Amino acid sequence: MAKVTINFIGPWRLFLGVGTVTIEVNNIEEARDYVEKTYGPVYEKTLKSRGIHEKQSVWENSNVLLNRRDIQQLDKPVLKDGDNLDLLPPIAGG
Amino acid sequence: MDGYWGKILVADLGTGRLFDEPLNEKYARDFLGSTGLAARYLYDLVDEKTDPLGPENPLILMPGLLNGTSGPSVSRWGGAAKSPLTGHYGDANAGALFGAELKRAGYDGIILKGQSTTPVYIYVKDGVATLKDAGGLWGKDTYKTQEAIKKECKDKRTQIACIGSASENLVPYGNIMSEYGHSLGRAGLGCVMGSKQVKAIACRGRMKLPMQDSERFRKFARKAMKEVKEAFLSQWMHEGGTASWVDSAISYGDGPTKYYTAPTMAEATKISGVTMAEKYETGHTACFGCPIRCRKVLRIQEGKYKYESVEGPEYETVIALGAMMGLDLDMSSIVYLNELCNGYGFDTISGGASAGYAFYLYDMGIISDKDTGGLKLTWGNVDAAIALLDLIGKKEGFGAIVAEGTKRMARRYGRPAGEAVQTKGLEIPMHDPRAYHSMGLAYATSPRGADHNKSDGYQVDGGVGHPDLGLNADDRWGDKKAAMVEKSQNYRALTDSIGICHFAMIPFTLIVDMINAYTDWDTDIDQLLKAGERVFQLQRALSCKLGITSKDDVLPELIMRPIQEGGQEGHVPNMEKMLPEYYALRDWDSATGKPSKERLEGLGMSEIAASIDAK
Repeated sequence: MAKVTINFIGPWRLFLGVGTVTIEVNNIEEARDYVEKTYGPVYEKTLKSRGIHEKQSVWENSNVLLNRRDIQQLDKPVLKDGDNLDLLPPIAGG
Repeated sequence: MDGYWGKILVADLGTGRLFDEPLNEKYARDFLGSTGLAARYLYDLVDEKTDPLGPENPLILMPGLLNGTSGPSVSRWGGAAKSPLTGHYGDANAGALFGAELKRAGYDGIILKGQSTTPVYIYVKDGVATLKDAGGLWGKDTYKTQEAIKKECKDKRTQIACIGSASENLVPYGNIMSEYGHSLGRAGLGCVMGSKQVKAIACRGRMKLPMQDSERFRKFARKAMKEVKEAFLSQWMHEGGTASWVDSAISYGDGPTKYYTAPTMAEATKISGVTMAEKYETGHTACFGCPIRCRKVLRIQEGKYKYESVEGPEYETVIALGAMMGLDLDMSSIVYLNELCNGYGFDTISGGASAGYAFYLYDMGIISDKDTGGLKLTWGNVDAAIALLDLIGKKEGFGAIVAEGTKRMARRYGRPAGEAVQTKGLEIPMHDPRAYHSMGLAYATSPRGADHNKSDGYQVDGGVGHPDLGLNADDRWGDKKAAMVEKSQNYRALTDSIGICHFAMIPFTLIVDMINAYTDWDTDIDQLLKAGERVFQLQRALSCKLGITSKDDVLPELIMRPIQEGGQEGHVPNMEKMLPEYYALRDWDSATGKPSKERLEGLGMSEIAASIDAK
């Protein structure tokens, strides 16, 4: 098990009402499951309140960085104690 | 021709005569509106010898094709002139309400020619234009100017594009402001307006638009409105605004800090859009017909400067006036700095970057208190930053030097040209090419000089692509970016000309449907994409006509130095690989940088090809 910190960056903080959580997981898949299970319903509820009923995934709608490296660019990333996972919304400023 | 009034307002300021000129319908059909159409008109009116601040340099302002209609988020309007900052092609665009009001006031555009001997403003109401004395407005800031004109017109709904004292003082990056915080920000179009002694253009329009099929248009506009309202991006932009990107920029290393020499400073989160929303937001404002409402209204009751109600700064401003100078700001101070620049009316990107360069030169020991008039430009010195920006607006003391922009500053102090972080004389915006390599290519090749809005590089690789155009997220540090940048530049040249906001995710088919219902055209996706390419290649040809060559398509050396710490991880864009591939796709000559004769002719611009002697 690794103790990792998940940072919800940018508007995720506004949508989910959380900035940072620390959890213990074995791998990235477990981190993803934790995020979806814990915050998926919160996101869904927020969207519903805005008249959007389509189900949306928190994880799939994020660029996920492990210690600032895009996990898509990493070869079989392994989690260790003290790692940071940043969930960034795929939006860009003007 | 439906979709257009068929007339342009020409103000001959030397004689004080205002008159209507028939719209060139071929130009309109080929270049649509806003910066596209303005560039085509400008092409005929300037050459290498044109003095940007002389009477022969026109200032052309045009609404986007769909401005004023019920289409969603189609408020963007634009302008073009020979830039006093860069000395070649300059353009800018903005949102808010002015473009729609100009269109509804009965004009397809305004061309200011010549120079007035006394301050004036132009008032346009329902198809009638008059020249008015602006002696009493000269010297007023952009907010008071707008209030005074609205009072004089006795109509609060009058929309005004005006300059502040920065442009009166001919600061080369003086801008044109409208409403509260919306600007034609870049390339010094306000300075051109100042050289003509035109303080403002005020519009009020209640005319029914020249629409071919209103019922059909409404049907498509309603569908498009629903799409935009429900889009993922709209929800996020509403909630966080552009300034919420600050937090992502910290992770990605996208926000230039201490003049491009340090990782994006984490303290910037204190002035991000998220912090605005959590602590200071009282509401939102919107551009004409926009359901996204991304702009924030703030109430600030803590810190040195208090505001009961003020519009929050955008992402570019938050970084340019903060991290760029290493400033650890609170919300009160960043809002004050933004308001200072907006009141004086100068571009926060060029202004912030030029001020950042002054801090850098001070840090390097190249300049000292003697040069700065006693300002201690140590990284993070907020008071010095405020004093410097104030001097820029007044064009006084050391501020007069920083007001000239980074390229001229480097020359003045005998520094290497590559130390000034600009391309073609225009300061690079706040998306660092070391965080997104595609932006390096975009900045190097943008016709007016560094332009983050003429390409979607950071947006596409950041995750907001356009799958229907084949623009999908890829490795942000990859070097296979030529095709993506070319396509996205064409797409943005198109949407800018139509007047569509970058954040409005309107399905392309609905854009086509709205245009066909508005005009009497029978256009399609391919024709519109071709129009986008035509606009971009025209703007490039105009740059070449005004002296730009392939030698100017470079990134400055300072920004090619790797930063190991933070989100950039030591990456730098591989320009040697990307640029030749891009040139091949664009069909640009590797020596002259000109688009080929064949490509220009293929886009229906044989007269442009002949004019620049394209091969």
